[in-house]
Amino acid sequence: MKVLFFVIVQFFINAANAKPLMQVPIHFVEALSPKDTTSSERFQKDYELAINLGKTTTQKALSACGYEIQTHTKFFDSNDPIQATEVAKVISSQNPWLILGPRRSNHYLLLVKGAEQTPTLSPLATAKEVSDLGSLHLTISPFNNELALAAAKESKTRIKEKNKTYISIVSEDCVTCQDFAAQFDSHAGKLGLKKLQEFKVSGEEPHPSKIISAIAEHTPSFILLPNYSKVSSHLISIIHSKFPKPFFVGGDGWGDANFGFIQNGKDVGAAKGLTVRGFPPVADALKKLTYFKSVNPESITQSGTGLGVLLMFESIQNILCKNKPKSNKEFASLFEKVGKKSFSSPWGVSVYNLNQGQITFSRIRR
Amino acid sequence: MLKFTPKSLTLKNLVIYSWLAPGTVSILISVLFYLIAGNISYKSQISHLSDELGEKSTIIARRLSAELLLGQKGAPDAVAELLKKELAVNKIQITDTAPCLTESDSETCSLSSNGTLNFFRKIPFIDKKTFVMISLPIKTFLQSLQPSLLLWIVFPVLLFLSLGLYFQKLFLRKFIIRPIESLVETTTGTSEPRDFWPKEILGISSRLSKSYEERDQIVFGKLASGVVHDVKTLIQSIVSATSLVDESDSNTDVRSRRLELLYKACKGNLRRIDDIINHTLDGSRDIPIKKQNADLSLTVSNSIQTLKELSASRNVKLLNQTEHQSIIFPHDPIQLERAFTNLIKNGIEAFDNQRDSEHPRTLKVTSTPLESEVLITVEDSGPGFDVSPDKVFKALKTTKAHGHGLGLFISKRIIEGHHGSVEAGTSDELKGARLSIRLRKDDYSTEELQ
Repeated sequence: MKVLFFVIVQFFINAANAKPLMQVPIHFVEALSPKDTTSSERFQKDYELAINLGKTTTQKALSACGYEIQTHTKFFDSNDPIQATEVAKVISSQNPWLILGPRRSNHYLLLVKGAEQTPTLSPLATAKEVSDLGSLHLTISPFNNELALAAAKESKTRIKEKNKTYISIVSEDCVTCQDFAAQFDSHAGKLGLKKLQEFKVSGEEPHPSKIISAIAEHTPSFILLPNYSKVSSHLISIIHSKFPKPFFVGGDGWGDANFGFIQNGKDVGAAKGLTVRGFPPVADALKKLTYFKSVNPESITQSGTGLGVLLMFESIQNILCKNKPKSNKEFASLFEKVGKKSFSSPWGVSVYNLNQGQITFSRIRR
Repeated sequence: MLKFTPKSLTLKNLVIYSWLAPGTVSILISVLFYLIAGNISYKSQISHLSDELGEKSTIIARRLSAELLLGQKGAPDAVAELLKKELAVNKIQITDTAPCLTESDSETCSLSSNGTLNFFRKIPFIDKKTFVMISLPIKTFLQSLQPSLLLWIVFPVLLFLSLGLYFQKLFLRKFIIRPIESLVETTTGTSEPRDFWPKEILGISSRLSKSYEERDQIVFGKLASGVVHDVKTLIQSIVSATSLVDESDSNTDVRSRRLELLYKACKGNLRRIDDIINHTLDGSRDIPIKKQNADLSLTVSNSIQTLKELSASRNVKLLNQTEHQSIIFPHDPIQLERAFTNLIKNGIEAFDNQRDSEHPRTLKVTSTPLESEVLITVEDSGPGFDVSPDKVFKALKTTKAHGHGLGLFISKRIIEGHHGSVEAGTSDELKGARLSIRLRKDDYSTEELQ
């Protein structure tokens, strides 16, 4: 009876002392392509799954620290990138604590234009311009400099010819692609890889007639394609059908076994190549996380962006529980101080192979 | 107003001209309608194109805004080139001015010049006023017109006009001209009205037949009353003379004188009866003209000579101003003498109607050879014509108590048989009637003379 009385009294004491949880609004902004609905819908589903997993997994610990994360998700049309700025402006007016996204450097840079005073984080942006944004705007992924170095070193290892030459084909309207190409050229020169020529292309299906002539004339050892998967897939298909020999080297835009147009690309055929990314396969990536390492990798996100979301939740939980900020302004100050360290990728640079239309993990290159 | 020369005043031309005015108006209205419809369509097309460019400019401006915000690494030119193909526009250009923008707070405007429609839109999110100009080639109003459409509009009008003209000509010939031609025959009884004639023509035919019947009756009545009265009067004087002969059985002297009177009455009156019958017949048949080179002055003089007794008995002074010259002229001396005799006799007898017995009675005949014709005038100091000059020569018109109204009519026919003309008027000199006979010298062919 005494025990029962004690329990009841304790319950009321705890109830009287309980404080309401501080709401932490985090906005997730990502681009979808209306032209490719199937892939976009799959990506959207995977993305929302990652947000939900991150939220539910960290909810209990955050609640114990007195916080509750409110998630708001907004998708925009990737063909109308200025929407990123518009969305950011709207979100900024709602006193958010953090904006996560988008994954592409172009979109992320535009988002920052609309939310300059709000802490923002991109899961995959790699362009050098992102590093110039300051400590309030960060990316989880390694920058192009690191990725390009890994790609250059790997290319040097893979190409067995004495004179290792290459032609690069770069999307003119892609910030990160141009940045990757510039970084690669810089490292390649030091590693003895000789660039023969560079071509600028625009649009998703450029006509490579001049490129074909150049390849026929110079017979390069490999072709650098630091572009997104659709353009890369299109160019690989055309070039490989005429010149089976050259090796293809990509940036982090080729996608992986689950997303993108190169995997199972119908005309990619027997083309061989390599690409570098800031994330290893999901199972390996999860092992590097604290709260998600026990999660079945088959049941969760399969995209690098999704992994970035999980890492963000883990890091947010750490910052909140450790520093207990009382407002978004305090959080912003903390983000500037500890964000770079808290949100940096634990995964290094992963090398993936392209073979028989399949993108498969090769190794982590440190 | 249209003016027709006698040659061009034909029913066919009247029909053509009557269709010409409405036809021209129809075509003008069609062309006007075509131009108005073309203009509305053109404006609609431009408006539609402008709306389309407006929508496209939004997409382009937003994309370029993103590229400009990204700085040098963004590729506005490359994206513009890409969008140019994607959105099918002729030109995309980033500019800092929009010449068509009238209000400072406006963000869009369009301008068409030199066959190009330019649409300007302010690029959003860029601090400095920056516009994107997109262009599309457009047709001018004249280029937008489709000649084939005009043809389709005008062709039916022309077709219906032509068909209308054709059918009207056809109907005119079949139902107007031919029936009228046939009407002439129906009046002489050689043809009958046809069932397919229009009602109006049938009505005219019916009225015309009736009118001719009435005219026949009138002519017959006048002829009968005139001729029969004259003949009867002459015969009565013969009958009276015959009665006188019967009453003088015993006295041979008396009988002899009466027989002589009977002879004179028969001689004079039977010739006159013969004349009356000949005149009557000449009024209804062709008068044969047998020309020969003869002296016209002599022919005129013969007529005057024939009437000397008559003029003397009526106390009329007959002046002949043709005797002094000879006018050799191809004519039928017998018929022309007859005609002149009639005309002069008519003038002499007209003095019977003059009330004033003191008034000088003069009749003058003059022949004047002119360059291309011969002019013969018969003028008197009598009372003149009591009808209008154009009716003087109508058949059955007479002012005399015993005339049958054929003398002047027959004279006119004889003169016209010589390709001449006769006109009635008033004498300036004698203040009475004047008849002018003109006979053209060059109207006689060798064949006619033979």
